[in-house]
Amino acid sequence: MTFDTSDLVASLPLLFLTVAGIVLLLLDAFSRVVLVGREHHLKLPAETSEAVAVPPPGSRNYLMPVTLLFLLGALAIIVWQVGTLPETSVTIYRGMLVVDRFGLFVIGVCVAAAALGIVSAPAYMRAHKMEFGEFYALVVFALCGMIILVQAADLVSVFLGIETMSLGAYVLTGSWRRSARSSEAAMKYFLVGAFVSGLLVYGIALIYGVTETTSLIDIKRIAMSRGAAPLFYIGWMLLLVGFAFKLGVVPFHMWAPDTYDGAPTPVSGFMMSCIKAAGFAGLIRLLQGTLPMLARDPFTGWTFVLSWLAVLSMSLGNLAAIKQDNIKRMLAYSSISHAGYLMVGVVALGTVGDAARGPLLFYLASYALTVVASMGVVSWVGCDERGEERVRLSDWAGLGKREPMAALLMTIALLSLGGFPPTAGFFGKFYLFQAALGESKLLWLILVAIANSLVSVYYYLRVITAMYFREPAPNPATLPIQSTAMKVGVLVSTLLVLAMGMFPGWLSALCAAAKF
Amino acid sequence: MSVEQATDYGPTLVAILFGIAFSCVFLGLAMFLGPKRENAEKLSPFECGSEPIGSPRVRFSVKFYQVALLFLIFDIEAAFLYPWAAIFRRLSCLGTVIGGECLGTVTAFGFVEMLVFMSTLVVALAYVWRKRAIGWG
Repeated sequence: MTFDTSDLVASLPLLFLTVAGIVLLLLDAFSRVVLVGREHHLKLPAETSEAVAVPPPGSRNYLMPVTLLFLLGALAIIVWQVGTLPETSVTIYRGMLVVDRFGLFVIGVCVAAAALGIVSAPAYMRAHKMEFGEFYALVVFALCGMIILVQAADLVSVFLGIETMSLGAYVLTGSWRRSARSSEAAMKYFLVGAFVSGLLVYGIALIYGVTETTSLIDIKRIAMSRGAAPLFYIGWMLLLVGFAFKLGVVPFHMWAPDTYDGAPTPVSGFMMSCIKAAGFAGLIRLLQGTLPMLARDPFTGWTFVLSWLAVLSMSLGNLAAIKQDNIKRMLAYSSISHAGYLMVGVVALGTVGDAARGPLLFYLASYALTVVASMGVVSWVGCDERGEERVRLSDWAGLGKREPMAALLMTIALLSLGGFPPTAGFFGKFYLFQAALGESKLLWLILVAIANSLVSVYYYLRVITAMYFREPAPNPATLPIQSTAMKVGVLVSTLLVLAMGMFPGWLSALCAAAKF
Repeated sequence: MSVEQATDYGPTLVAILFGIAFSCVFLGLAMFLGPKRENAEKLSPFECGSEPIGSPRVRFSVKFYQVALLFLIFDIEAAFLYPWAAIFRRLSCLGTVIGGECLGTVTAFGFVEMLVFMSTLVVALAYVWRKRAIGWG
């Protein structure tokens, strides 16, 4: 049995982040703890049997800069790898993973979004009295799962990546243990996720049963030469259902509003941006990279199936978001509708081909950053002194007067979500629809998408008008969080959203170069 | 799936059908032929033949759950050691292995792989120990 050291170099981001996660876990475990009785706030001596060890308030804050350094290190490695990558993709670990520009680009987006998201975590956790040292390690481990998923060249690594990513997300969702809604969110997410994992494995098993391989390249070759057997169709349909669940696409979205709404806000941001980006990248690799020949069949092809998922997801997400009075929940529904727009991009990949991949990646990147910016503001504003959430529209009324900076940043993020120039969201939609128009058959889908964007403007603007033109309620949100790190994080992500909208050329060139 | 492949599953199908038929026949025989003399003793629930004591809905300490999880982790570790031990010679050999002898260079690959695996588990153990999940108190 031989071993290639070049494999280690090629998978350096993954190895680096794995080690980083382990280091963070140990740092948390070996940092100081205090013993607290089972009753809250009742301090008991160490020998009492019912004492539990908890971190003293603020004692885990130092893990955030450490994590940030690790993530920046990972970004540096990714940039270095992009520079030294050969033109063709490299398969490593005996065909389990593949290193190419497409994968590295999406990993870069995920790591950057996570880095911008975690800076608001210490202040958020402190304000909501939910301090939790494993937070950073779990984020990093979930990122490792995303890397495996995005770089997967084998159905086994697809599954491994999804599971590693989801396990981190389940725990993070339920990490606000004092909040019943957080536990409910985690429970719903976990039960649905566990069920879906079963569907994924079953789909993989059926595909393996027909093709006798789990390698994506071999599956492509066999499906090309022999044509697809009925069992093969069932297999990839199950895989597709699995991905649709994980991405929160209608009609597999039932968990999404409760989970994104109940989870701690930085975690919701992490899930909406990174998990969505990694999941879509995995889906693209699976559909366009492996099954391009199954794209265009009139009723069984994946472009047909996905175009309906896209229509349902956009319409239902937007319609449900209209009547939300809770900003976090509104953003959760908006994330469902954005999954629909992204599905339009995947459909375009099947019909137009490679030309649509760049625009799709641009949309992924712009959406990820916009979500991080908006969820950053929600973490910042949505809190009161008792550590409860203040995310109702009425809590935010008059925010423009009380806290002009937060209101301005939120406005920019919402305009980007709605697709207004000069923000990233505008060019995301523009490029995506332009690419999809390369095929006249997709015109109806583009029209549905444009109609939906118009509808979505209503509920994004509703928040903006509430912030600027409504009188504050008698008991408005008070913003007890004073954290420079959080403000800088939100500011940087919003500036990036603006920069991507004003100078979209560099990013779209980068996206266009991100090939398989 | 081709026809030949489908016929491979024939015996399995027969076994399943036989299993269903067999259990139906014997349950049916017991139902129709068996005498039914019910009394209070017979119809009451029992645990190992003795009178049930208290409600079956007791609350368990969450610590049992923790121990079960830890057991699972370290049990899987042990389960992974067996296949590793079985192919250890092949893992460590850069040539062909004949009769347990390596014809080629012997490397530390297999050993190092297991060391990496074990050290991540040691990290898990250290974490579990510091989080006080091992002690019962």
